[in-house]
Amino acid sequence: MTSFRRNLYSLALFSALGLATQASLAADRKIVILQALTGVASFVGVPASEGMRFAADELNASKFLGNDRIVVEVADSASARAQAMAAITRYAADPSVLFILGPTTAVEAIPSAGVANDAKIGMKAMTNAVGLLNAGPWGFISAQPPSITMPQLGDYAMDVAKVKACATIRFSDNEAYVDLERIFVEHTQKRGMKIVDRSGIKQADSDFSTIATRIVAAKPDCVVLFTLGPSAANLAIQLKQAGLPASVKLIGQTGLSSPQLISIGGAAVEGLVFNSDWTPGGNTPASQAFAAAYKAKTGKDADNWAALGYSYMTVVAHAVKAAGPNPTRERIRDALTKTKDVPVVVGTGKYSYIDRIPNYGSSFLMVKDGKFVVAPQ
Amino acid sequence: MMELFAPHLPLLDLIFIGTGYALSQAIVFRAGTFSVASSGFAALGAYCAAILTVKQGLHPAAAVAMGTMLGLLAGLLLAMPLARLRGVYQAIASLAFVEVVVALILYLENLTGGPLGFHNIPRVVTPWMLFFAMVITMALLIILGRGGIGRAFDAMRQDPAVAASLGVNPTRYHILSFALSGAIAGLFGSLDALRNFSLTAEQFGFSILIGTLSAVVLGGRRTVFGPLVGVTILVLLPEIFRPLAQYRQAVYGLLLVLVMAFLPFGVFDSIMMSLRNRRLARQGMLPQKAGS
Amino acid sequence: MARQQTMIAQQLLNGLVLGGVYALFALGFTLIFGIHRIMNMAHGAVFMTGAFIGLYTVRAGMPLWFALPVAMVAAGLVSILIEVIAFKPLRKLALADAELASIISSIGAGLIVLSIGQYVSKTETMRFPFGTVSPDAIVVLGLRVTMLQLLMLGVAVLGVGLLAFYLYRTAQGRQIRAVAGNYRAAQLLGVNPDAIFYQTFFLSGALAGAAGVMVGLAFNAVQFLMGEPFLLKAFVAIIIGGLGSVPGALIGGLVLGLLQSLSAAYLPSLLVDAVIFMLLFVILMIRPDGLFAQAVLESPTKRV
Repeated sequence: MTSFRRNLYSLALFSALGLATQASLAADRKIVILQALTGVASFVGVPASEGMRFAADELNASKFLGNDRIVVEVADSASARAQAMAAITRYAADPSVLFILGPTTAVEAIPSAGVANDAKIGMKAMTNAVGLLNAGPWGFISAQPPSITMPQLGDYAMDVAKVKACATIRFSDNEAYVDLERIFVEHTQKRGMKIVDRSGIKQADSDFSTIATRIVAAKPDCVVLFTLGPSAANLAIQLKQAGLPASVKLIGQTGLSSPQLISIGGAAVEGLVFNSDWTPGGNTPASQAFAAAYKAKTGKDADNWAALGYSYMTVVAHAVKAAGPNPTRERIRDALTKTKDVPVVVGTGKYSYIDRIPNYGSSFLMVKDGKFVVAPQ
Repeated sequence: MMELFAPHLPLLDLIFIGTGYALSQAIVFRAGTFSVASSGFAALGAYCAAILTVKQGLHPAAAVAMGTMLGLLAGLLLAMPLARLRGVYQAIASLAFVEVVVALILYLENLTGGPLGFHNIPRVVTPWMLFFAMVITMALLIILGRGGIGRAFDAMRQDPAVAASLGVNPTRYHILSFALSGAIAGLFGSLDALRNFSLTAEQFGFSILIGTLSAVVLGGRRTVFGPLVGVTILVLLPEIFRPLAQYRQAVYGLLLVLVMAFLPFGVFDSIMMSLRNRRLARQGMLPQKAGS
Repeated sequence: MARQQTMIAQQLLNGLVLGGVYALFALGFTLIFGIHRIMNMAHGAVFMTGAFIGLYTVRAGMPLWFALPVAMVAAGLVSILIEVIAFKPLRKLALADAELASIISSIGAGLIVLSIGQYVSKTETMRFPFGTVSPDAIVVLGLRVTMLQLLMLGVAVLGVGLLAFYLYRTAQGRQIRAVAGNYRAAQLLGVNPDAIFYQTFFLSGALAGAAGVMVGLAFNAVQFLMGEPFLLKAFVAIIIGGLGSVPGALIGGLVLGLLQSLSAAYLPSLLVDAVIFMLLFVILMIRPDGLFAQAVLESPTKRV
């Protein structure tokens, strides 16, 4: 053998060995968790990121991606759009980052989706604001939009709670809640419900004496709250203080699903019914297992946001797996778009994207004796 | 080279636009008016440009021009009412103006999107455009500052009576300072809108007003570079202190307190002043202390 | 029709109660401005401190009538601390330069206090324990008046009364009023400017602290950001009454409360803020002195 051919064989051998070694080396699949860890939305961002982290750890432990593992990096958007946008730009420039789970709120996420589409990196925000999808195919929403959930809530109000004349209160400075209220009203009015009063409050407001007085004077048989837990609790208290009769039913939506609703609202929120993604403690074997494992690991009860975070990370992990042995950002995006029936712990247990709209069902919860229980159907 | 900057582009955006807003603020201070109306002018310019581009299909350059004009107009309109007040009262009146603008933007939902914000604005503006806008504005202000207008502003700020006796028509220069302030804020508001995909009314409210004010006072309100220095410090702070994220607000607050205690004229201005004093001392040109 | 009248009357009552709290808050702010010509932008943070201290004291098992004075004293002390940190270093500057610098400095001090509140509360919204104030209501002339509303009115009246007594009937108060911004004269008269600062800032803080506890009780929300919306609205109250005027702050607060209640009852919620701030602007145009002109130190309008 000439020295040239020997060198050629050596080269080929080394290359083959090199490739083989690389193939058996485990790859890190880097996913960035970009949530509001500080600032006004931290009450969502903190538990959500904990749920996501918990999911990543569990998936790695069960070798969900085979030899590969999910590596998470957690970043804080501080509930500020400028920081969220800056973070996305920064991570998009890092080729090892495959996907971004976040940001948290619509205000951060909608312009961030513009950045993500520019930078061609996939982004799945916590929000359900459908407007985000207009920015391009790289931005995803995670929660069910009101077009899906509000007709369900409206039907529950009219058929199960049997109310006929409602007053509504919504956050006027939060797109998500404005939409929820609007669609609820549209749907129920079409079915013959009377809406006797519609009030808007700001997220930072706490003085509801004027609204409470006006609503009590309008004599509704139900009050529907399109706000978050603490505000709803406060509204309930001030409504009762203004003389709202105990017979008036209180109804809400998934934003109320937090322990603060009860700790702040106390007796005033007894009997309040709302549609929820997460049933505290779990309502299926899978969700109950999650609740127990989460409590064991973190010492805290899983709340709505932790459960959603856990579910969203699961969905992304499935997309990474479906993207094949060499998941690029494009392949993950395409796989995510085709998500169908991924097992999750929220809603009715199966998560799908239908025309990029999330679908996973919801349950109805009620506050009874200071706890969340399944509401009468 | 651009790849080096790419991850940090949003920071540069913030510095360029923030400096624009701060310059708009600084110029009325220079002319002796305690007005904080800049964020209101910016809001008007931003929404004007955004609405014209998205809803009326106007060419972005024309929309930016319209936004600038609207800011200028608002400045002119606000100048006279504020001229009748002094000091803190001007500040409160201009604050009221900003809050009214924000509240009206929130209320006129059909036009502005209201609390939902105004979204899907095409990203037409590049970082280079922002950079040039900032540089050109600074150059313009430096030129004006060195000339008669600058001297008139300084005179009005230091002693209005003396200024009047020197033949400076305070009304005319006061209106000019507001027109400039409004135009600059309107310009940068429009650029902001066409760069950052969406607008909300809140982003022009109390917190940006405080942020712009802080940047000007922190950096220095007498020079044209002071605002740039102030904005840069405030933009880089969250990035440098990312590990201390929880305490970022406290660090920000501490910075404001310390700078005001030790460099009350602003970081840049104080440094410039002490350099100048040292130079004058070396030349023996500082006034002698009494008794020495 | 009768129901409409009752509702209007009820809203007026709500407005009056809210106005009392605005008055307490505005009083503290205008005291500092009237005497020292300083806008204390950390006033909202002091208000929050009062609410926090009051809450934690009640949570520790103390009754409300004990927690309220504790909260007021604590807020007063924090206020003095803010003065020392934010304003004292700037006293040596000429007034014109000091104005802007002290505003920024007080913003900074306010942020530091806010951060501490954020850290301590972990950004959560807290509420006073159930039963801190009895939920009973009495009916007077067809109007529902809750115990809480009575308490708020009572504290407001007491706060204003005590301040008025201190300022107008005690030697220290006379000194404070005489000094009102002219430190040279004060020093010539043998008054210690530090003493004036400490007293005025303590009083200002105590009033803000009382307002904080009342708001925390009334609206079930004690949160580190609770001071922000108040500060802005307080400007309106102070201008209506006249910057630097004690009775003015009281009247201004009440007027603001009534105005807010009525407009919130009848106007779309998004318009309420626009109305209030437009009113502020208009008042500054036509009568910037407010209702009680004589207490203001310098004319708010230009002479030139």
